[in-house]
Amino acid sequence: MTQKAFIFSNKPEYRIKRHLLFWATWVVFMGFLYAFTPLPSRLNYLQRLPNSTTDAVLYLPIHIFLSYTLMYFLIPRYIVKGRYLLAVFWLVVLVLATGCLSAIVSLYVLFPVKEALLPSHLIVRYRPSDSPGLSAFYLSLLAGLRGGLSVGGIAAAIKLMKHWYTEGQRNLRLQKENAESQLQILKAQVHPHFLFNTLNNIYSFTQNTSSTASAMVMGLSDILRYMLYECNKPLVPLAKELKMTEEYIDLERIRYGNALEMDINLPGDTDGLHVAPLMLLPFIENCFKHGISNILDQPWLSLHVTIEDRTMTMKLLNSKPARPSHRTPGIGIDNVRKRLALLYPGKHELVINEEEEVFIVILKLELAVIKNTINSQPNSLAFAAATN
Amino acid sequence: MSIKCLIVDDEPPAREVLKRYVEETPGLELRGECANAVQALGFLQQQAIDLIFLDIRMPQLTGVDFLKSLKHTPKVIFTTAYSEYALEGYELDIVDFLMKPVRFERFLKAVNKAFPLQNAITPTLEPAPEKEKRIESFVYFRADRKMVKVLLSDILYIESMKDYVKVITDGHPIITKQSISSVETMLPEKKFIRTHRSFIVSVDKIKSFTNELIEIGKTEIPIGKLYRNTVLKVLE
Repeated sequence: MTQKAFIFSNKPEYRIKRHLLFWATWVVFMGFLYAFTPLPSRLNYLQRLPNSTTDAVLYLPIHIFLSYTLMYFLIPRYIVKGRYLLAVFWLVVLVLATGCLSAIVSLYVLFPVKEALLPSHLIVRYRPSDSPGLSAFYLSLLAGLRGGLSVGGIAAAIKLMKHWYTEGQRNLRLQKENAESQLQILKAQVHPHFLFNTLNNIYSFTQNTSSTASAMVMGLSDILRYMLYECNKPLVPLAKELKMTEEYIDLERIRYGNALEMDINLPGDTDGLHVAPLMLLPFIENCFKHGISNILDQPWLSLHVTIEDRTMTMKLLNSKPARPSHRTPGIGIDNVRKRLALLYPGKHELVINEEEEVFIVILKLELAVIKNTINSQPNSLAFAAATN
Repeated sequence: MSIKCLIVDDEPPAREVLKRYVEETPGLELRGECANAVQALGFLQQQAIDLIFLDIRMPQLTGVDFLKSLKHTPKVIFTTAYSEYALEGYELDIVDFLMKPVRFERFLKAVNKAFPLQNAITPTLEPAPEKEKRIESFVYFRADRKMVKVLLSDILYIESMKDYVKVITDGHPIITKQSISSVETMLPEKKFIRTHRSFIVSVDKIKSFTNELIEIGKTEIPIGKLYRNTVLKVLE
């Protein structure tokens, strides 16, 4: 678990440690590796270490430059997004820039620093600028570049590996959740036509005898239709979810006669806002299941939904018994929490506050806007949507 | 000129619903009902019809096949319990697609779509059970062993006193055991603001304010240092 956190966590403490360890390892590796270069030949391996380690430290900023521009610029902006031509272009630019930086360090920084730090007999006297003409420039370019390419490649590989790994995990989880909910839908979908034909017939028979009964059948049909046919879409119009919430409340309140006091305040205009289906309904369901139905004293419920820009705020208050008979937070709510984490990462805020006699839920969601063009296009699936 | 209608559905109660809807809609005239598509073919040979309410799943001949076999099709509104047919419906030239059970308002919408000129069509059926008038927003507090209903519009301000809060209204103050922060979450953000560690005020009730104080009725309520910026931003 901690190993996994060390590799994958985005918390600053882990990230800083992880990166420090990586670069420390790299400097040590470079120092020991380049000490094998048989220059100057009069020194033995250990004596060549200070020189090669100083080289490693001085070229480090260049390596860091290439690695981080690859990891935080090239990969997220071009490679992950599939803009490969631009990625190649930027890769060339970055490699050239790294080469230039390397040349600057080789020609102007390396020897002054070494001369200041190391005893003169330990310094490798070979300088690129001693070579004739252009080859001096090429050599100085290469000095920092080859190490930079190696470490940049390693860093990029790690970055990409982690990216695909987390992506894969996320997809797996989403698939699993999806499969589960589809199974639920399938279970209910055994014979929906039988269900709706029967509801229609009940509606027919109650029409003349009881307007309450026929209104209830109609409400129930709407809710079932919504759950069966529309909740497998990723997004539904917020207006629809609110309408279903209202119909659900209308059905539930019948159980209480006039005893249940309600204050429902929903926005009239939802302006193309869309929400993942069944995000609000479970909370309402929960109110009735755990709160209101156990109350003897004075059951009440207040539901206010407001919209500001793209943020929807739902404030749901309901009475609850002072001493709950059995404390279960509700599986429905657990599921919503999971779905919120998956579908609205960083875009939601859920506060559930249980007081002695009131249950408070505040849900803020940053919603997507989809302008409804469907109805204006005649040759589309408008009918499937126009069932309300 | 009324629109001549035909209902085709194999289930009698389903026909009953549509029959009632047609009869309740001015401008529509019910010319016949058929229990299957074969019957309907015969009916159409005898008289001209403007609008058919057509079920899809029927024995012998489905609504879709029936429609395909017609040379001159009147306007057609599909009625079905199958949402899967929504797709197929569009390949045939139909006006609308109604999912059973159909609400009357939805039925009218479909009819208006078929004959847009008749948009004077209004329901004569009693309107859907009327939503009761807008209720004034309220919350309940427990005070003296009773649950007391408090209209949000009656609240002047709320003051915290250790484990209790005092809700000051136009009438009697209410004292209830709850933290002020928790009461704050119960109130609409736009209408109430926290001005101090121990005070929440109703924005609409503010008579006047300075940088340090808010006047509500005859009471002066302090603005806490930590809250000043937000409070003044809201008030201005």
